Amino acid sequence: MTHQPENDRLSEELELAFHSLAKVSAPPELADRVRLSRLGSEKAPAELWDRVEMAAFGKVDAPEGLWEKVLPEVKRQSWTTRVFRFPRRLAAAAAIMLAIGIGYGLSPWAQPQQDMRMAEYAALKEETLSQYVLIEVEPNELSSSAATMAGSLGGSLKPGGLK
Amino acid sequence: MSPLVNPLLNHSLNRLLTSTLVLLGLTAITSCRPDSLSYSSDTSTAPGSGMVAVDALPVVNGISSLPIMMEWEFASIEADGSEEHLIETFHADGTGNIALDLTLTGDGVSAPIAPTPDIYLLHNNRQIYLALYRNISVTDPLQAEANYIWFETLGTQTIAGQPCTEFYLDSKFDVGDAKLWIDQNTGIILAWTLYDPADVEIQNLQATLVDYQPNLSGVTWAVPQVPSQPYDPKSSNRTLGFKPHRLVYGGPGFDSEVQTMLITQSQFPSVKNMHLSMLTDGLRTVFVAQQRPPEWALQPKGFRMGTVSFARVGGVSVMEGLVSGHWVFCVGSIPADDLLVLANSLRRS
Repeated sequence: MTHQPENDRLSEELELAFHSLAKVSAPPELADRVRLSRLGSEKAPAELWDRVEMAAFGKVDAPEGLWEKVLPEVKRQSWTTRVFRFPRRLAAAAAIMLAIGIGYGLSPWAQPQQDMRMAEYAALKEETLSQYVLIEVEPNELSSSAATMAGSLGGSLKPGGLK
Repeated sequence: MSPLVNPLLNHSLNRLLTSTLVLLGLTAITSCRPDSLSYSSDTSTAPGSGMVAVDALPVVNGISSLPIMMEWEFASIEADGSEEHLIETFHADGTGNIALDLTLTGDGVSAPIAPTPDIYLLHNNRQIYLALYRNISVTDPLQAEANYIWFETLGTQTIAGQPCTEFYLDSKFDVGDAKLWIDQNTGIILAWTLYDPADVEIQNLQATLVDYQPNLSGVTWAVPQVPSQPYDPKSSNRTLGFKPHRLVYGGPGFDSEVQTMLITQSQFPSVKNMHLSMLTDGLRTVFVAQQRPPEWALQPKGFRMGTVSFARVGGVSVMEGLVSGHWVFCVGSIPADDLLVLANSLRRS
């Protein structure tokens, strides 16, 4: 295709003639030609030519034996993938569940306040135990006040125990 | 890459992506299970067959909230497995008067016998505390719900001739689980069992007779052994003889507190007055008491590790020692470690 600069701008006379046509449309072929002529010497990409050619073929069967010939090359350049068949609805449901799962994991509910309390408590308990020496004694070695309070909450009454 | 491979590869990648999504989705569902967010002891999995998680807590009424006469057997289990059994009779008039009489004692093996006079006297002096604080009751439903996961055993069980529902309470702070049997008609707890964190039974009680229309004539109502007054920070410190510390942290769920002042010196001159905080996690009661320290107790200078004594008496842990300058007692049916955390949260007010 050759670019023709004179086609870039219409002459005033021609423009008036077009205006006089009012709503009469030019045939599609004319519009295509005008577009092509404006492309000038621009070259279409090779991929576009491939597509146009394939489209031009329409539904044409490949020559017999062609697939067998190209199959070894296809196998060499591809790799085996196990294909699972999942209905689209199942895949969509999985995607929604994934979104909920991620949302739940990122949400503040993922670490409920109760769990935070327990974690805090576990840390505090460890810290407290590091500050004290706990000495286990026999019940009758406790002070009378401690023994009385233990007895008030159900501590043993039997001889040898609390008195 | 050959143009013929592209569609095949895209198709495979789509399938692969779909299967990955399904797997991730299933993982997401699994991660949404409530128990997967919990700590080891904090699981919503039913601890036994025939149990279901409870959505709403049952109505539970205190034993002193209505006129009642009950006979029950209480057992406390020592660390060595030996048991002490007390067979008691409880009366309440529904207006605050209560009485708890000790009728028989035993070891769970031999036949029960009448208590010796000194045992009877010890018990008699403590009856108010035993009835109100040793006995398990759901004093604060919100606390009980916050600190325990409740499960209900399907079906009805009969305790002392009354239809009851059994509940299993899984301790979230791992201070020990509990079982309750609640009268379906009155909401009164007719039996309970307490466990330690290793699921070993430490205390239990079971009613053997219940009368909701008791004859209360002739009942001698209990009077406190030691006079007590509500604690008022503005006026009580002079009576106490010291300024008690305040608890800044409820430890393993013991966030409800009632403060009182025990005027022990009026009855026992050698025993100094006490400030007593009665804490509950909705089910168990823990006492945290403070006294002026004994003269022999050395106040530590600078930082050094504190030393506290503890013992287990029946199913009850007792801890005492010098904490933040005061002599502190902590008592309750939870491990001594947990009592120490409570004691250590006392701060100068």
